[in-house]
Amino acid sequence: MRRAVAAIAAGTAMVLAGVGTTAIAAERSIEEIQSCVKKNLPERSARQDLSLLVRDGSGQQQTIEAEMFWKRGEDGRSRVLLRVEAPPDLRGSAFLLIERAGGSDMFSYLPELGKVRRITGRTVSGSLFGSDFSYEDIERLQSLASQAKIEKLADAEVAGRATWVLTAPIPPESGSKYQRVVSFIDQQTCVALKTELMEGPEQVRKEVVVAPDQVKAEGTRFIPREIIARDLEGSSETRLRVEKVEFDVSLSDSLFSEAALTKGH
Amino acid sequence: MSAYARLLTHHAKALLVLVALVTLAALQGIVDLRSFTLRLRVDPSIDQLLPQGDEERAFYERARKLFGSDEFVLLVLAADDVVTPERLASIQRITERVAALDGVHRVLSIANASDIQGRDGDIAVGPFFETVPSDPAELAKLRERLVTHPLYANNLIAADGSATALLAYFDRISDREFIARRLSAQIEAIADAERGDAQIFVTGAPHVKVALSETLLAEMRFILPAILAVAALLCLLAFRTVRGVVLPVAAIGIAVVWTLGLMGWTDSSLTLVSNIVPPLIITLGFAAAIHVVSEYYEAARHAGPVGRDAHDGVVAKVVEEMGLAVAVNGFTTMLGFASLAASRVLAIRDFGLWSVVGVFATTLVALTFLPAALVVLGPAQRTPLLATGGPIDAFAERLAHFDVRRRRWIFGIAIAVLAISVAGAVQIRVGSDLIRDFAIDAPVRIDYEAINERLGGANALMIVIDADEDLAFTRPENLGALAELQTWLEAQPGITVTTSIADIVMLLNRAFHDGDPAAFAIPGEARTTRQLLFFGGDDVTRGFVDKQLRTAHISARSTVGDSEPAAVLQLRIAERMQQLPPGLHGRVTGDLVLLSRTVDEIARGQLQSIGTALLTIYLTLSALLMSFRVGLIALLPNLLPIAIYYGVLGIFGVPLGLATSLIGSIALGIAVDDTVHYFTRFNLDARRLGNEHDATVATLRALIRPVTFTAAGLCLGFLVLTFSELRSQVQFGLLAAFTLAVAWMLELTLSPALCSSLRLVTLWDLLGLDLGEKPERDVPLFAGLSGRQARIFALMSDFETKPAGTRLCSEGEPGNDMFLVIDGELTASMARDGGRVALSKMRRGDTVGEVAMFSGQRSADVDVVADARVLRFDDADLERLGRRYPRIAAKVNHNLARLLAERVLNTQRALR
Repeated sequence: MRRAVAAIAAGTAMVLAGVGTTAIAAERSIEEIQSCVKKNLPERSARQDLSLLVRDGSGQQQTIEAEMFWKRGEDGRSRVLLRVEAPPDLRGSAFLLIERAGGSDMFSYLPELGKVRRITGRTVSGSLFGSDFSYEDIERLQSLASQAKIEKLADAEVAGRATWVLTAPIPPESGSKYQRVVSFIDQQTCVALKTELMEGPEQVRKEVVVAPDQVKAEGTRFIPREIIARDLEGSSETRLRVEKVEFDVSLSDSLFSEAALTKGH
Repeated sequence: MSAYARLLTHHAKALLVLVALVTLAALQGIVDLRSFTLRLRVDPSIDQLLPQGDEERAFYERARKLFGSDEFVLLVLAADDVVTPERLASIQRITERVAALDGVHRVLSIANASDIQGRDGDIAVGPFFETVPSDPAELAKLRERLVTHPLYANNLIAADGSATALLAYFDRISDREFIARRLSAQIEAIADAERGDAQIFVTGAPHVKVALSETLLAEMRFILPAILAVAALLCLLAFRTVRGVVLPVAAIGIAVVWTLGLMGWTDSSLTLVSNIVPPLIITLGFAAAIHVVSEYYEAARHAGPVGRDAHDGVVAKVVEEMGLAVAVNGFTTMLGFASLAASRVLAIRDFGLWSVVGVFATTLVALTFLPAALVVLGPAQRTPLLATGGPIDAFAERLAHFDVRRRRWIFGIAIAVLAISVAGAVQIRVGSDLIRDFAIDAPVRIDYEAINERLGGANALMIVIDADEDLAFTRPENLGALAELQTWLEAQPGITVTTSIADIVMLLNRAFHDGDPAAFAIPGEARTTRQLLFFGGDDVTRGFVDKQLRTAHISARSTVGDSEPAAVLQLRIAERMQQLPPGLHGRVTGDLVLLSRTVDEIARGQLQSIGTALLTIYLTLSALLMSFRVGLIALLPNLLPIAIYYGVLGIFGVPLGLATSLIGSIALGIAVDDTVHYFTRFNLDARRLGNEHDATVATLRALIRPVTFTAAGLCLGFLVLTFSELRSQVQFGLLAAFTLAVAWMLELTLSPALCSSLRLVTLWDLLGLDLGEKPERDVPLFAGLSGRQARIFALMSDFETKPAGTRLCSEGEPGNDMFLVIDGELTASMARDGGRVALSKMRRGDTVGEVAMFSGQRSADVDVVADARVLRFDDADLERLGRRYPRIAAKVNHNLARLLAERVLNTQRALR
């Protein structure tokens, strides 16, 4: 769950949002494109209302609504609090992630047991609230914004929009099942309209898409309101809706504490 | 048929070239002739054995979709203690290397399985060990955690730590691809390289399928040539000529190549059932070929030394006489196999289809290649020694006399045996066990048994519990019911360990209570469970409960592999699940459950298939023999071997399995083949000799060799299968040979006994009979009959041709039959006072000798003036006609009475 929380934080607030740069010239270097993408990211903090609709291969689905707070600490590291709002029997369940040097601390709170527990070791669940998307997937999605070893491919069109195509190899020593990630970045908004996680040279295992009409301008930024992630092998689909987003709001440091977890709403 | 015979003899070479070209094309379907790689595939998947469109199967598919596939390769590493630094490192390496294989989806072992532990406010989540511990105290602690773990004890590690399992799940690839990628072998190789001094055992459905596929292919390479060799040997014994051996063997080979070639071209595979098709084609092809070749030698012997043209005539005559019988045989055999098309099991339908293709190929080859080759080869240097004379003929004669004399006894015994067989057949058990199909010393079987013994069973059962509402499996009473059911299941023989969402909830609860053993319980509140499961996440719960927490799955490991006890266990579980709380509905599913259901289905389908085939064959025989009654009599020698076969299964408790269930259809097809041959030949002999008793002797003398050699070929061919490593093939071979031996015995006893009192009328007799134009109009005896009825009457009588100048009968001689003139001219006269008094002239439609038929003495001389054809019939013929065709007999008797009355009136008028 820790990684899931981190993934949501990263995946929604940092990667798939984009800086609003108007009328960007089509010919850009990789660094310029990365910079353009980064400009969509919040600088200090963010607050988001999310809903996550997960539909598995058998057609069953589940919806989770959550409130998420993200803040960059003075040390430059992230702190994330995720509090579940719905369904009612999960309301109040909360997860706190505090990034530290050499790892992260994760705390979990279950209101029915009234206990906060620090989670150590690796994640219980690699997936985002039951979706087929793991922390690694989201990590790969983020990598294009910062990874150095990126290659630019020929521009392509996605959903009628011109995109820059960036690809990053995934080193085999990472133990990843993916070989590379390919991202199609909208030349108008710098939002990745499509990202593919490739298992083989031509084999797309998972894809994350954003419909251009779901990309909304929020001040100087462009925010994707709905992100659809698909596992092409498992036939599952996850729809992440950003219901509300506020950037660089004032968030108290005490919000990101064990004590705050139990307070709930 | 005669037109075809002429065509064949005129274009024999062209026909052979055509056959060669088709065979070459078919060969390319089996083997890529450029690269010499095998194109024909073996598909050992069980999927094809499962009923199509079946509700039970749909349920299984749904369960697999919800909870993931239950198919995995199970690798077990066994030693005195597997929790040692060396062995743990070895397991770790095997896990990593297997997971890295292309096609492997995920691997689960004690090296990567996740545990959740709560202690001092922390919850540790992760594998049991990251680095292999070397400290004895740490190792002891690790061992304790593993062997007492609620999810993994007896699942991933034996309770005494002497064995540990690795489960490899695969990407969604077909069985064929799985075999082609040699994933199973790669896993075995990795395990072998890393095992150290530990023992390695491998099982699991994909692994067993690979073993089956390899065994089937390997055995085919031995069994097919062996059966072919048996066929060649029998041909050598029967004919003792080069062509007598080479031609049947070549014909069989061509039929096999055509069938397998078509399989290859249509991208079809040999399945667990259709792998019997090639040996079947060889044996059936042998039967067809030996009939044609023996008829050829018989005809050649009669013809004596002849030139090439006359020899062509001999071959043409064989085609004319045998062609229709061979075609009808092929057709009826195909009907037998086509009846399997009604099966809902794809593999059985497939078997039926390819058997039909195979029989069609053998028939076609027997009617094209064989006669064409005989024409091209020219007159035989010598006819076979065994063709005539000797003790075999003497035996046939004695047997014929016995059959005729004891026909009532034979018939009575046959009916009694039929009754006993039916009573035995009612007790048939059905069952199949894919693993125990392998020989006891086969590696795949040894591994399976070892895993069953050491690690809680190698088979998986899925017990699916559906609830009426969402979140039902957060409610304590429902989870409690699951836990109780698990306790009950684990007490059942054959089930060793179970896992369900209840175990996971208890584990999570304990972790949140700092590892307190008392908290290893189901929480009292549904909300708590819901939050624990949310915390646990989808990865932990996925295999055991659906997203709505409405459908749960108890995974049970079982040692039961045989479908029969599996079905019993399934019933017992279903019964127990009646006690689940209201709103919960349980059902058992899994590969094994479906397999037992399939075997049931096949057994039930057999009755339907055999019933359909018997009805179709009965109707065909009735149509051919122009009588429903004779059709029924002809059916008895076909029905009895099958009844005896099923009776033997029931009485001796041999379970009806996948392969053995096919014997009924095969035996039926072959028995019909023999019956048609016997009846056809008997009919010819009866017409030729005008006497059923003599005809029985002649027919048995003519057929005893081909029938016996065919039966021997079939039996020995099937007996070759007893060299198989697969028990089902051995059983199939033995039982098929036994059934065909029974069919052979009945063909030599029951068929002659039944025929000896019959006057046969066949469809081709009827069609070929020339009674002149409109006999029903020109012949007073046929008044009121249709053309077909007139022909039937003629065929029930003796048809005789009398040249001019011959005497038909003489005054004063005894006689109890009369004649009907079909054409020609006869004159009746009496010798009086040294001279001859002409009485009357008789032409078409007139009757002769009716007085003698009633008085027993001829009243005049009757001479043939112009070549004549007459029908001779007596009281016995009329009685037989009355029994079999009462309407025709009534008309004929009426007409006969009218003719006699007219005759009396005419005499009275003459006297006045």
